[in-house]
Formats: sequence, C-alpha cells, structure tokens
Amino acid sequence: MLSKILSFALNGISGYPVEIELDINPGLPSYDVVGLADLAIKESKARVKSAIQNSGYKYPIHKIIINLAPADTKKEGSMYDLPIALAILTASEEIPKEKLKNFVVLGELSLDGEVRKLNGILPMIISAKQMGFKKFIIPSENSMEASYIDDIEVYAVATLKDTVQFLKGEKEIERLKVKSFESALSERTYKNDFAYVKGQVSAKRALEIAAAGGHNILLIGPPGSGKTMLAKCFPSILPDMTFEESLEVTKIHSVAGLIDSQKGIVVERPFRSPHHTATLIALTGGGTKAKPGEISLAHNGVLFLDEMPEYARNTIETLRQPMEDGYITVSRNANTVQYPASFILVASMNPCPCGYYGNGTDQCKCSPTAIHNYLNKISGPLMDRIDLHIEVDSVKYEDLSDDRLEEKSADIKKRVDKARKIQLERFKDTNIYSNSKMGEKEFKKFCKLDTSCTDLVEMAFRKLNLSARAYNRILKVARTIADLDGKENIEKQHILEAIQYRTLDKKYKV
Amino acid sequence: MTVDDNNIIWLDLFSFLSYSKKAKLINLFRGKNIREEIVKSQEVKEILSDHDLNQMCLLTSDVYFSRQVEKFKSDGIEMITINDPRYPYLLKQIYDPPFCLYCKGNVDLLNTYCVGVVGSRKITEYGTIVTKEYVKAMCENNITIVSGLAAGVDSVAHKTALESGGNTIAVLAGGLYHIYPSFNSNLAKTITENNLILSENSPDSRPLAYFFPIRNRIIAGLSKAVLLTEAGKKSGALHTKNYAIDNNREVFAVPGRINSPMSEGTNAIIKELQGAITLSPADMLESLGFKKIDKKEQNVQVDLTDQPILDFIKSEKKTFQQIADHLNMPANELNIKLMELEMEGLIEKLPNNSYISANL
Repeated sequence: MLSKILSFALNGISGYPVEIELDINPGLPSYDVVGLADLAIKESKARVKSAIQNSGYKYPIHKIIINLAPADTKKEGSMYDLPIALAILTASEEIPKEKLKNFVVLGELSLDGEVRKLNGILPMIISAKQMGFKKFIIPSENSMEASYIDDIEVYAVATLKDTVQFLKGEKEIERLKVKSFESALSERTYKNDFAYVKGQVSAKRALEIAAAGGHNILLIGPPGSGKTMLAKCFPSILPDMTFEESLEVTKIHSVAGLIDSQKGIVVERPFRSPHHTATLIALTGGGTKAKPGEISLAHNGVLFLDEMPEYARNTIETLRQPMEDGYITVSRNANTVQYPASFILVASMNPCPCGYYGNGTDQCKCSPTAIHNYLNKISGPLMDRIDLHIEVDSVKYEDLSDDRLEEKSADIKKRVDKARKIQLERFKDTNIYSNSKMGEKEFKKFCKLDTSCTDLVEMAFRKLNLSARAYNRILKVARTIADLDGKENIEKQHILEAIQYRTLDKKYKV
Repeated sequence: MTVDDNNIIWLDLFSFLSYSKKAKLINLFRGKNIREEIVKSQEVKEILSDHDLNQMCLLTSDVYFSRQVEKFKSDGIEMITINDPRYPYLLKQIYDPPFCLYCKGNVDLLNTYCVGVVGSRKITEYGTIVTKEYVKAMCENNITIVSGLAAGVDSVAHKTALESGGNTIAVLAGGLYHIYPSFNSNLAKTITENNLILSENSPDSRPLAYFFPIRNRIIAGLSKAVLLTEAGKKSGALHTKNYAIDNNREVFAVPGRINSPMSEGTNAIIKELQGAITLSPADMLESLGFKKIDKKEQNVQVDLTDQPILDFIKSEKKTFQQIADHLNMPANELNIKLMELEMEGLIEKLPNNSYISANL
C-alpha cells in the first residue's frame, strides 16, 4: 500500500516542501529511507516503531520503503518522525487516506508517542503559507510560535494518539487561535533601564542619537566605567520592532533553536554579546549545517562587541561587508544560505592596554608604542563604519552614592521614536529606514548645508585636524541630531554636537 | 666636494667606527684620498683591528662610493661636513662635533636661533599642555625648536611647532632611512617639507641603542638653550641636559608635582641648578634676552553663558559629567558649548572626556 504526506525542510531561513512517500510491501520486515536523509532521519525507525506500538496501534511487519522527495536535496533533523508514523498508519489503513490530504505535518516523536518540539517551525510555516499551503499539524510546544500567523489552520498536537484520533474524527482538536502582535508587544520587558545608570550624561546622549539614527557607536573608557552597562541598556531605547521585523528575527532565532516556547515570538530587539574569543564562524554563521551566526542573531537589534581590540583581527574585519549590505551569505559544502544581518554595532574599548590612559596623571603604565599598537588594532575601514565615538568617564564614588533619579529609558525612547518617525517619512519611497543607511544620493539630498554651516564644517576640519573620512559621518549624525530636535534643516548647533562624537578622528593622543 | 669631505662620508659608511677612531683616521689622511691610501698605509694598523681594516679595504672602489653618494643625493639628502660653511657654528664649538650632518629639508635652519625642547617619551596631560605653551611662545619669537622625534615630549614639540607655523629640526639617532619610532614616519615626512631632519650617521645605519645618548649632544650643541618640560628619573633628556651644561648652554626645567614620577627628573635638575627653573614662557624668553612681548589681547567674544564653564575648568581639568553637574546643563547643550569653545581655542579636550581651559 502506498501513502503520501507533505512535510517541510529548511534551507537557511526559508522552507521548501518535502513529500514523504511510503510503501509497504510484503517481504522480510525492513525499514529503508531514501532521498538523502541524514542519520537523525534514518534513526527514526526506532522512535516511530516504539511510538506507534506504545500508542496502541499495530506496526506492520512488512518491508517499508520511505522516499523523501525531492530526492536530490539533503534533509536533516527529526521533524519527519510524525509524518512518517502517520504515513505508516495510513498505508496500513489505520487512518483513512483522504484525511491527510492538504496537511503539512511536522513533529518529532518520543518512544511513548509524545510529540516533541522542533526548531525552525516559524520559517517553515511562513514559507508554506507563501506557497499556498493552509493546513498544518505541529507539536503543541511550538504552538506559540505559529500563533502569530493568520489565514492558516494550525492544529497543535501533543501525542501521536491524539493526532490519529483527530484525523479519524474521534477527537476534537481546536484550531490554533491567532494572537495579535500588539498583545505580545505589550508583554515586552527589558532587563536593563537607563534609570539605573548614574551620571554618564554624555554617553547617554550619544546612545540616544545612535538609537535615533541607527548609527554604530564605539564607547571608549577605563575599566569599570560602565561601558557594558550602558550597552546593555541600549536596546531599551530602540524603537519597537514592526511585525515584519519581529517575524524576521523570530525566524532566525527559530532556526537557531533560541525561541522561548512560552513567548513564541521575539518582540524585544535582540542584544547579542559574543565573547572576544568567538571564532569567525561563530560570528558570521556556518558549520556543517550553515547555521546563523551572532551577527544574524543580532539582526534588527544590537551586536555588542565588548573590548573590541581583543577580538581576533580577521574575526572583526569580516563584519565590514555585512555592516554595509545588511545580510551575510554563508556558503557551505551542502548549501549556500543568505541570512539577514542588519544590526547596530555597539563596541567598547579601553583607551590603552592597561585601560587607564588619560585617567589621572600617572596611573597608566603603557609605553607609547603599546598604546599606539592597541588603538591601531581596529582597522581604518571598520572605524569608518562607526559613526559615533564617545569617551565614557570613570565613575566617581560620589556618583554611585548619589540617589538622584535618572531619566527612564521609556522617556528617552519617546524622543527616539519621534526622530525615527521623521526618518521613515523622509525615506518612505526607498528601502532605507534610518539616517545611518543613507547612500550617496540621499546624503546629497538630505544633508544639505547652508553657507554658515559649510563655513563651520570647514573651520572645524582645519582647527581640529579631522580626517576626511569624518565628513560624511559628521553630517549623517548631525542629520539625526536635527531630527531629534525636530528641525527641518541641519543647523549650526547640530554640527557642533556631531563633531563632538569624532574623538578618534581628532588627535586622540599625541 | 673636497677629498676630506669624501673621506668623512666614506668613513661614515662603517658604523662600527667610533668617533675617536674616525677622528684619528681623518687626521691621518688629511688631504689624501683615504680609499687609495688605506690599503698601503702602515699607521692605520695601530688604529684599526685587522678585522675592521679588512672589511674597509673590501669597499674602497670608486664605483661603490660614488653610487652611495649619488643615491643619498637623489633621495634629497644633503651632506654638510664640518668643513662646510653651512655647518652650524654653535655645534662646531662642542667637544666632539659630528664630522658630517646628513640633512633632509631646509638646511638654512641650521644657523638660526635654536632651542632644544626635550623630555620623556611618556607624557602626561600636564607635560603636553606645558610643552605646547612653551613651543608656541618660542615660535612666536622665531626660535627654531630642536628635538629628537621620539614619542612624548619630542613629538608634541615638533607637532606644535609645525602647527603654529614655526621652524623645527629633528635630530635622529639612526640614519635618515631608518625613522624611529616608525609611527612618527609621517611626522618626519611633514617635517622634511619645510623644516629639517638630520643625523650624524650615514643614512643606512640602523638606530642602535647607544646612538641615542650621543645623539643628544647634537640637540644640545645646535641649541642656545635646552628646555626640559617633563622628564622622569631616568629620562634620556637628562643626557641632553648634561651635554648642555658641559657646553655652556642654558638649561631650563619646568617644575612638576613633587609626587609625580613623570617630573622627578625636572625637579631634580631644579634642585641641582636653581637658576634652571622656569615658571612661564615669558620668563624663559626674557632670560634668553628676548624682549617681553605683551600677550596679544584675545579678541574672542566670550558669550556670557560660556564664562561659568571657563571659570570652572580654569585651574583643573574636569570631566564632562562634572561640568554638566556643576552647571546643571543637559548633555546636548553642553556638547554644543564645549565644541564652540574648543573651536575658538579657549579650551582643550583631554583624554577621558575631560576639558581644561587653554590659557593657563
């Protein structure tokens, strides 16, 4: 007897349909899987057999052949356990054949017949929906993830037995209710808040500008000055993600298996902080399965590189291309995958190897060459892509013990939201959504200066020894400051403030 | 070039020759072509070891020598020997003047009024500010700043001189093809444009450790006076001071905090030579015989709201946070104010996000 069931496979963060064909023939009992299945799929024999028997059904003692079509792409993972089990039961006429038509089935089985959670459900469902599939059977633990997609029929099942009874019409399983994105958004929480950061007014202001314009930022300061704390608070002032952004992030996190099954969808902007020993693959993505790396997991959020000069040079240099393009292409033997990787880079560093350069008169013990080499560890092209450099002062005891109230993240966020709205309006006909992403054309159009401003910029370059590469950065940041200020044109004071954030272009040290 | 000049330049090619050996050889072969005579001469054997002599005899060909000289010339290097009228008069007066100066840049500076500005390679904010201030004042009086192109005080001195449109001479320890430290090679290049770098060693010689202290005698020798703005206990600048004293040049030292290790050297000088203390550029210039120049009134219109900032950071550097707290001003406004003041040159930004008033 022959049976066919539809399932899905993943390639990067998009899915493609896989048809599971199963044939039971008389002959010596056997179980063969063809169609470039990996070991996890071949091992499904044991799980499927036990699960069927432990659910109280009969496992056919015949020759079973399973084909995963298309037969020429590699399939991996354990999501085919449930469809194979259902195919066996259909072929052995436990379940009527026509019942499974149009269903896309995904799920891993445990030996006692329970249906287990999977990674990558959301991207598969989204792709399936785009291809016109409407009905799904998925593990109940993944139900939260699927519940934000409307226009489809999703049935979340807990056990194999339930599934069979549901298909036979013996038991009702309720169709998954669609949840609204707004409800998820309202449950959003951020662990860190700027209200708990004492002092640091200049760094906070710089982060506000970075958030408003989507600018990359570098924090320079002595150890213990609170660079990491500031960076951790940063996501809390970023504008809320739109539903599309949120889905995109959830897709990537789903593939990487990082979804909290209670929440289902990622509503907080991701904050990724890979350790400085992270390898190139860990950052960019790859491995045999071409998994997403840290930069993709930070998509639409923040990538925080603490102690940037400590990272291996070739590791951070690979950030250059994704920072420009907003995606990364991971090519592996098996497949080539494109992952989105559009993030705000927040980096921190010490001013010298010991960390105390310029802090007090004689604390720093580094030789001039050591300081020079340390600052040179970050290449010019990478520095070029960081719009704001800000020095973080060391914290004094008085600041810590002071109990005055600081501004809450929510209040800062209101200003950021306002500035972002202006930008969205400005770039509405393009695919740009923040000032930092302006290309040459937009730059010319939106960063126009009047004569007094042009004179000011010229004077600043002459007097402060700014490097030429600073020019575009300063004007883009000035544009964002003007937006925060609610001004149509860039004015003098906006430029003056923007120049403040080019510490490393000025002579940082002699 | 005379025979003697050629002899000096040829001898300089051998960096293993000490000053005294060179001096003896130059005297021995005065008026004769050393490259022809050295092979035959018996007296040289008393001066040079067999090994050194053999090495030198291998390179006596005219082709080799003229190629070297041509190369130096095509690289813009001028060779000013002790017999040259352009050789600086003051330098000739010292006990062991270099036989040849390999110069790149504006050689007219050699006979201008020079003052050596030296100090530690590690420099504090105090040292930076003081060095800048003295160098600026001297440049206004057309004094050429002589220093050693090292990190720290030397770099600040050269850079400030260039920025304020003054003249500067950098005296290298190694040859001109080996700028040390390498991160100053851009600075060296800028200096050669209108100013001067020089060395007593042949351009190919590497900057060996023992060249550095003896190079300091040239800095002292070129200068009428030597100023130490900030020097630690073991700073090489103290050699320069000793050479200056030995050769009757003025020595000035800027006092520092008594508990700062970076000022131990300068403070010790002041204890030793009480007249060396200098408390302001004007004070130093006056004792060098320069007329006191009235400081030009600063014509910058200071905004009334800026005055509290200037007062607050007048005597001591303050961080951004401290200024913001003191004036109760939001970060964005203060950013703008500080930038304006910095551009007008009224304040200076220091590392660690702190500021200080520029006119101490």
